Amino acid sequence: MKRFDVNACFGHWSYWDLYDKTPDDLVGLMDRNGIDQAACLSLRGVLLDWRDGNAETLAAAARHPDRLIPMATIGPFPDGGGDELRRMLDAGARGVRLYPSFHSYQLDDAFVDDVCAVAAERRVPVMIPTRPMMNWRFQAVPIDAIGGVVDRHPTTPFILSGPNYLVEFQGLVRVMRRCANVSYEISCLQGFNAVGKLVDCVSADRVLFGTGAVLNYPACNVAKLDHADITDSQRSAIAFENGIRLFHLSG
Amino acid sequence: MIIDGHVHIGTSSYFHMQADADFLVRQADAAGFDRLFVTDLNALFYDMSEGNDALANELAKHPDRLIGYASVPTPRLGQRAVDEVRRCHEMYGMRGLKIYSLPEAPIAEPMTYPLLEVAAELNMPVLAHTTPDECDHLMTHVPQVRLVMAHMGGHPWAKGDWHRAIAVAKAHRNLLLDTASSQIDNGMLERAVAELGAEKIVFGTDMPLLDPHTQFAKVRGADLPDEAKALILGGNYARILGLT
Repeated sequence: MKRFDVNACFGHWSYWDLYDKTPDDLVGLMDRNGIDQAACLSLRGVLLDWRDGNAETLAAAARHPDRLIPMATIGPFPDGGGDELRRMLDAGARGVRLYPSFHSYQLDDAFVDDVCAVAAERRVPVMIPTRPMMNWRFQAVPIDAIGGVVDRHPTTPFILSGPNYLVEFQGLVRVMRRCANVSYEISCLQGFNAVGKLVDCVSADRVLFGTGAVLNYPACNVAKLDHADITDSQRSAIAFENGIRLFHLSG
Repeated sequence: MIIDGHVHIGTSSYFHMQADADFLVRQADAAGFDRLFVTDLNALFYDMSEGNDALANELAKHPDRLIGYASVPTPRLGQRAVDEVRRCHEMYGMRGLKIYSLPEAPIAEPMTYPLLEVAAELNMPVLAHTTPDECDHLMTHVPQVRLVMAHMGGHPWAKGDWHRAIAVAKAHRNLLLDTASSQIDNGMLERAVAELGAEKIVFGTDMPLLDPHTQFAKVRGADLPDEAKALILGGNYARILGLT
């Protein structure tokens, strides 16, 4: 089964010394875990300066053109907005991730609407991680705040990640049922057969395989999907086809 | 032998969990686990004797697969909790103790010491849902007990700090770390093994709250020698419990 990881990254992590760091490390993890392609970005763009991070992301994708799909990240400072997303898309990026907690803005800021409007115009996904990884030290962005931006941009394709179990899962399902333009990436979903439960609630074509590598163990998410109580065609769609379609890749 | 050292049985409206022995054994079969070390939700969160009695009935359905933890809701039950642990060990052959710390009822206090002392006397490992700092306190005061830090810092009020968990485990010979957690941070087990040795890490899933396959892959997929994985996945608990 082919796998497309919609949520990967590389770089340094302020909180601890990462076990794998570089784009080559990421590709090595993909090789060991049977992952064909990954949408990724540099953590420099999350933690320090999104402009320099985007440059690193494009360079990494150029080094591994068959494996790494560049994702932009943009914040309002300095001078971020829709124009910068256009420039990144023209340079090869296939979508954008927003990190309001790391870039100091709210999801109801005009900056967000500007970026989402460009994403709709260019038909590329806006990914919003409610937490950067499933580690409890990171406060999650409230799911209702994300619901607001999704409601305001019904033609923008959104990818959510971060909600885990219990009330977070219920909030996720509530947003996905209300908003047909929302897909969900599974790397933070750790509940018992949670992929199967999500598919029961919102259908498999809106669920996306992701690992959170290099921050997370990719093997956990491969196993999570491989053993989910769903059909093989649903599994294949989640592992690869849904992401390829959303990112307009040839597969 | 693969031993899942962190399994729940019973029902919890809070955790949206419901499992009986048959269900758990089916999950173990599907995942390839040989033995499950099981704690009862009623005993852990409400009525300890009622829950532990119910667990004994469930254990009897699959005695070759299930091992029991005596569980108590809070060490603040005092001597009643100590007596309950002894009762479960003597009457039902339960092999471990499960305790739980909440921000509303922390366990790093003298009320907990007698409970740990009886567990040490009866050679019962203690699976403790606690913070690293609570473990540091408890091990300082009851160093003879074999304490297993559930989730190795990977739960909300421990703030996910597995680095602190490793540091505390390094300071206490009898403190082990349990792998069960929502956290799947790349490199956490490699770092733990490098700092502590594989002998101080034990496998758990937190089933049926968490997905057992995801938790199993955390160990199997780690960049560790096969010998280390074998110890984590069951060798350590087999040694501690005298299982063959």
